[in-house]
Amino acid sequence: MRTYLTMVMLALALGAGPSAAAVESMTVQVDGLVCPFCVYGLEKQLKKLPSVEGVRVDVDAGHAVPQLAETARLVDPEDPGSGLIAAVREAVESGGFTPRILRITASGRLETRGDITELVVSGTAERIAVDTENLDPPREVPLRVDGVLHDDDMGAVLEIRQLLDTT
Amino acid sequence: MRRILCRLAVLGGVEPAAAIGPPINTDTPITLGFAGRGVRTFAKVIRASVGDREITTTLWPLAIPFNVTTKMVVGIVVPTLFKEAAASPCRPPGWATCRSSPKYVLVQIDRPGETLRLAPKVVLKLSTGEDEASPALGSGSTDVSLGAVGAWLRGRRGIYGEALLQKRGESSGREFGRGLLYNVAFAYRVLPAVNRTYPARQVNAYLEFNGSWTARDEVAGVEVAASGGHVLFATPGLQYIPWSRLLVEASLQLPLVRELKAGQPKPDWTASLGTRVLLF
Repeated sequence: MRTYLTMVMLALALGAGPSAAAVESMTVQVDGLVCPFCVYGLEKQLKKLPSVEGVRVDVDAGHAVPQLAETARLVDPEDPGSGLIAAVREAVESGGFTPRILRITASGRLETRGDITELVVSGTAERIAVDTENLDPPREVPLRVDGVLHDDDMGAVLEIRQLLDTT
Repeated sequence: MRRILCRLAVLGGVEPAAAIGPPINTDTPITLGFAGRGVRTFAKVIRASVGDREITTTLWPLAIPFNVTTKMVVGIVVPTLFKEAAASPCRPPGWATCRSSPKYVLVQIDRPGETLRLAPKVVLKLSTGEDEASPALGSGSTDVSLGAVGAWLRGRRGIYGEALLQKRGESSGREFGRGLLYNVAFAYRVLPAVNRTYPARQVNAYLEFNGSWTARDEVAGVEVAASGGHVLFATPGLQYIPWSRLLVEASLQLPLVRELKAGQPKPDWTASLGTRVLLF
């Protein structure tokens, strides 16, 4: 009985961590994607990433959609240049193509600290700097956003393109 | 006879050492980055004639590309097997010449659904072919070729081009004349019309023009009469990709130009049936 209770408590404790993937989807625009037989290289490189569980490629649309693991983190807080964003770009280049826009859909809330506004991604507490020049979404409320990731001197910046229905 | 077979090997454009993408008889500057480890093999039947005598030669090359960096590929053609030389006297199969052909993607301009690439290329042909017995399976010379391969692809269409200047070596006192190999390929994806999912079964059609020009050979400073010339083939071809790692292809080379000096076999046609497999 004691062992059983310990196992239940352990399971509950593990379940209390980050749960559902807060970054719902990522789409990478891949330029030069015109040789379907060569897509094998792109697919193989993206699948090698530990945060990527599968890849879907649309050759004519010129984009790849990595299916992210729940543990995927877009940026490494210790080293902003070595998170998933950088890894995906590197994987596309290693596959022989040119990465362009990285588009994501994510849930979270915006927090402003000084001059910097960040998206605090739901469930992970991961923070991504946000460019709100074109849109001025409300702060401190649950949001679901569609945006484009840019590389900045300070790391990745999410340019929010549109607010999505949170339901 | 050995010279006849050597000429056939050269004129037939025996082994383009690319195993990583279309087209069939022209090289490609599109690499698989770090991902590519593959094998390409095909059977090639070359029919030629000297006067009333017809010569049929069957080749079975095996090409292996190896990606040194994301932009550099070294293609190695392991000694080609002459499966059959149906000329008299007939000889058993044997090893022919080994080739290595590194290329480096120097220019890569990628746009959505479009790419332009250019890769300088070196081809080193070693004197590994058996040339003791007759008919010989190799020229006995070591040849070096310098050139480039380029491609522009957009949507369903593509144009490939390749040019190689050959500095050919010497064997048994015979200096082989310099050469120029040139290939142009027009590619069109027949099916599917829209390629939304990957991998999707695919059919590609090609029209290639494969040419070679060689200067006359020399022995002791004297030109060899039966050497040198210009051959140009028109080559329609089809390619089927049933799976992301497998490709099968066939082409038929038909001569447009056969300006060869007297005594050399004139190519009538060359048929190829082959496959490429991406291993890991």
